[in-house]
Amino acid sequence: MISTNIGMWVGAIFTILVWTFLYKDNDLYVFAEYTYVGVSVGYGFAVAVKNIIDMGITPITSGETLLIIPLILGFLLYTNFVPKYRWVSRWPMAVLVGLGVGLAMRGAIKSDFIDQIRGTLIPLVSNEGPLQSFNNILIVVTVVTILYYFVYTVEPNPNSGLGIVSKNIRTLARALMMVGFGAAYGNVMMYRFTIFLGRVQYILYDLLGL
Amino acid sequence: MSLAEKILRLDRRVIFVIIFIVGVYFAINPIGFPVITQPWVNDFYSEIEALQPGDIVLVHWSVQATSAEQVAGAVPTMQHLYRQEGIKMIHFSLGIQVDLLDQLIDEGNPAAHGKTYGEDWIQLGYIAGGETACAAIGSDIKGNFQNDWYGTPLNNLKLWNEISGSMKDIKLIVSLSSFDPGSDAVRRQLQVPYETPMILVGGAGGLTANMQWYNTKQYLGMLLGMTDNSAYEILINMPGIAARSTDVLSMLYVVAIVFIVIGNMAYLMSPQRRLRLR
Repeated sequence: MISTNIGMWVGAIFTILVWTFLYKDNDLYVFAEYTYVGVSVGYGFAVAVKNIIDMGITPITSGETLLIIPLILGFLLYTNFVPKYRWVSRWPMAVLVGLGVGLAMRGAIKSDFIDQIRGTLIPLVSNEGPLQSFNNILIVVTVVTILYYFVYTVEPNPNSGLGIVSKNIRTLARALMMVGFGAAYGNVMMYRFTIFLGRVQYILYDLLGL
Repeated sequence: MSLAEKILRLDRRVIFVIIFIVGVYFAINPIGFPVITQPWVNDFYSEIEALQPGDIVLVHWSVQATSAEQVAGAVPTMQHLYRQEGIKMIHFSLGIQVDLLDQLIDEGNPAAHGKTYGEDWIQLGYIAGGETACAAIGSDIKGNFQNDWYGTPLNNLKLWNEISGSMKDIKLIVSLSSFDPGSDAVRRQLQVPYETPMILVGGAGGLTANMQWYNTKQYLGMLLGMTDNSAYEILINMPGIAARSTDVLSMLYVVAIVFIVIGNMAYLMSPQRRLRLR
């Protein structure tokens, strides 16, 4: 059954307006694009104001006076628009950067570094069968060769035996990276198709009731 | 002009039209290809099934309209969570479009599963700050919030008074993420420091990036993109739109592969390449 919801029709019409760009750049597409930008900015502004009221002003008026400090630091960011006082905005920026880096480091060292190294400490001959063994070997070989590829400090003489081995390892690493890039490209295609399909389903199933 | 050159100069709009026709045709006339269930989808399912009455689930959202299709598994995940008797949920978002995720929560139909707002779930809404916000939630979730997203004082909500505010209360983190700041921030600030089990609903495009976290058990299960979602819908016995989408996606991939093969063959045979090789 065809939907009678006006909002759904508006959504479908804007989807088609955006798709017209695939033919060529045109005013209908530009209209859809500008409308999206306007709505997004308006919505974002309203949510930001609500956030400042809920998380900043309301608690301060309830007695949590210490929250004035981050609120003032936040306002100082706007001095960036006044050339004479632009230097003031570096203080809140310094706090933001310091806080962000510190917090990111806390989780990143274990998550992105230690656990990843631990993830390569796997049995080369697995009890789960030959396929798993192959996977484990592939992981270890890929990690080691690609790490070696990015070691720039030591380069053996290319004519020596060590140099030839080094060159072959780098060639293998490059090939493995290409496989990785190919997989990433395939993933991007899947991502794009999913978005396209989502819109097709929206029009066919939700709007037209097919 | 040779055939190879003609192919290489093919108007890209022809490809768009073919993709559109294939997409629409198979969306209306599905074939019924079998759906492969990946191990990370089974793990995702098992983590939710293992929840016990009274367990609290922290649900993170980083979803916006432009990438909502990426988290196609959102509604089935909500439905599966609602089916688990007695579990409680605390939702928060690192993206501003809370209305959209409220819609996704409602599409799971909590009322049909006897779930009541304030008793079974709470919506904290958008929290600015990304990684910093996640760290604040981890350190003291109760101390950092006074009202829910709709302005109701949290102390008036039954569920809020049942939790201590410690991450030890949280039995599972479900992260639904299609943009940054998203699951990475949650993983680094909530999963890793507190060793809280975490599962991910994301887009198909995130498979290669997220596999490393799955291999190191930082994500105990994943639901990535529509193909995983269709398998999941079958696992929870609620076949929906995703289950119908597998055919379309498969056929679209076939079209893409055909174009890639033809394009590369044309390039290999083209005079430009021969000139470049000289």
